[in-house]
Amino acid sequence: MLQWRSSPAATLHARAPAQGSRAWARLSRDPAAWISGVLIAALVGVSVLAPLLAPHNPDTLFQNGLSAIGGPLPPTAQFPLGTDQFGRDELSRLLYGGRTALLISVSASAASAVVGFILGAAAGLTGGWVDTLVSRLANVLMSFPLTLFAVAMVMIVSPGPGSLIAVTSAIYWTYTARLVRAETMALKEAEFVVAARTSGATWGRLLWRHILPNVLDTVIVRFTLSIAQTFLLEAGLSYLGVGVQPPTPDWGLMVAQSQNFYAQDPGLVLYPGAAIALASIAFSVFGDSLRRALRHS
Amino acid sequence: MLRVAFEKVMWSLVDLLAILTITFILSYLLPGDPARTIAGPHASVADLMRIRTQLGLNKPLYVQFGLYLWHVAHLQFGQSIEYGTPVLAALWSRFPATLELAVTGMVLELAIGLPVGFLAARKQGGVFDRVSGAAGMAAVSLPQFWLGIVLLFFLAFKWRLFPIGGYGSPLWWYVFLPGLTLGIGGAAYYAQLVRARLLEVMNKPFVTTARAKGVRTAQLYKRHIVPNVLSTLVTQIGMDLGYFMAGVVVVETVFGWPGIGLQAWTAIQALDVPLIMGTVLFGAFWIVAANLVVDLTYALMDPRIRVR
Repeated sequence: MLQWRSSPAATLHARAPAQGSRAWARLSRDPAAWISGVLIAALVGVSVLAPLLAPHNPDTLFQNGLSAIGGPLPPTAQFPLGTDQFGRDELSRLLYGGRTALLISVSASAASAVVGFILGAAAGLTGGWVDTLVSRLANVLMSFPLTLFAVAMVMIVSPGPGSLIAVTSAIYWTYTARLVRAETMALKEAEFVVAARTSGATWGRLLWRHILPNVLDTVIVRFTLSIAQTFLLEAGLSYLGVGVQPPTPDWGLMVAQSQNFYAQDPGLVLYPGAAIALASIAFSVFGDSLRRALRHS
Repeated sequence: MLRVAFEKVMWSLVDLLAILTITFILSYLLPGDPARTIAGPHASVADLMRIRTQLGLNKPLYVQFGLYLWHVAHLQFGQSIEYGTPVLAALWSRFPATLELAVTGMVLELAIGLPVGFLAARKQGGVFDRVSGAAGMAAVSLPQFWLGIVLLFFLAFKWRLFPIGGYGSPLWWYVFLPGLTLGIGGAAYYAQLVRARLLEVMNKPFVTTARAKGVRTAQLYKRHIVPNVLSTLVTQIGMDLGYFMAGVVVVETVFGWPGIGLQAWTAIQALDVPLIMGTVLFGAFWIVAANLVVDLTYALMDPRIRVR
């Protein structure tokens, strides 16, 4: 897993308040942003509309869904992509398979963004023991082997979407906090912040009115990239059996359950894996485009 | 310099203490009664109580935490329920395999990443730069378990170029595919890092000066550019090795590679809490150690920090 690394270009510097419209214009001229944006829209659309799009119930074990020797079926008129080893419709399971993972990674990334911003900005703004505490805690959390640490935490709270979101955010806020802290430390000396402080602005007001607008692009870029990373982490956990639990259709789980049937029906492993990769690529590329568009503002 | 080093070592110890606190809380919260697990399902209440007393489970929590720290300080991490051996012995017996895999992953990511990054930076925006950039984006986005299965299927099962997982001799033949699966994402990362760093250094005034006074290209790279790029790499390489040695559960599981990651996965299936927490702690230790070594190396290499 490569989640611990922040991209080398990810360290953004403090800048004047972003000019949103110009960034949008740049983004709309970027073909990579278009392609990844369409992919993300398709992913979200399919996940939301899965009950309408899927030809079958993804959990139904079809009586006629297995071959004579009890193996998965190749594509037929009734089952466009064939069935899995339990006689369930593969296409329906694929359409449903991104829902839970997407919900988990988007929620966890959003929670990480909020917590990371608050703690990072507080650390950067106040300095002193708050800074030491937050930085040390982030450092300590980053020192745990990611997958195993997540596994241990999931075992306490028992696997489920809620606990997976909590566990993932408990790890991922550190990346946002680090970036926000660095930027806030630079902003702290800026004239407008000093002026606000001398005129008696509260910490809350400083955070909300002065720091947030200036670090928002960093937080948004980080949010997008972290969706890609948490999506992969979630898939890995499901593969190891501590993520999404059966019979819920989930791409990571589908790869794990079908890997022994790879030789008979490669599609059972190839399709869900490719779906995970595609989703992760889409969010990475979009995050990268966002960063490029915002950097020049 | 000594003062800086001392400070860094002390902070690492503070980090380790915090890590121990977290693992203690986690193992305390984990489901399952350790006394019951050891005694077995048919043990009498008296036996259970005896084992509880032996383990100190009837003591207040802060005493238990003190005991835990005392044991860890004496390198006692408890008994693995699954194997019945001390956790540390179980970890050390599997560690060589993990180290072999970690080093292979490391070598492969550098062997692929460095040349690609270098070539991409030679012509910014060129065909190679664009293609390698896109390929890199894909490489970091592939789920490792899936990549492993696909590689196994084609290269090992279908074309029989490599063994279908496991461990054996000659080592390189067995370690190549898991090493590649482990290293491919890192290769993309290094390519990006080297490219960004090269482009940055090449536009620095000292490079322009060197060019202006007529330094040959080969000399320019050797004397001015490469050393600057390398200093960035050293930090990253050290940290990578720490992370890889911390155990790579997914890759080891897919390939049946008998390292601490696969052992941890078995421990997860068996709810072997001491072994799981032992592996977490073992991994965290390597990462903290790697961070410390990197920090110290960096301080040694950078005169601005060294002379302080």
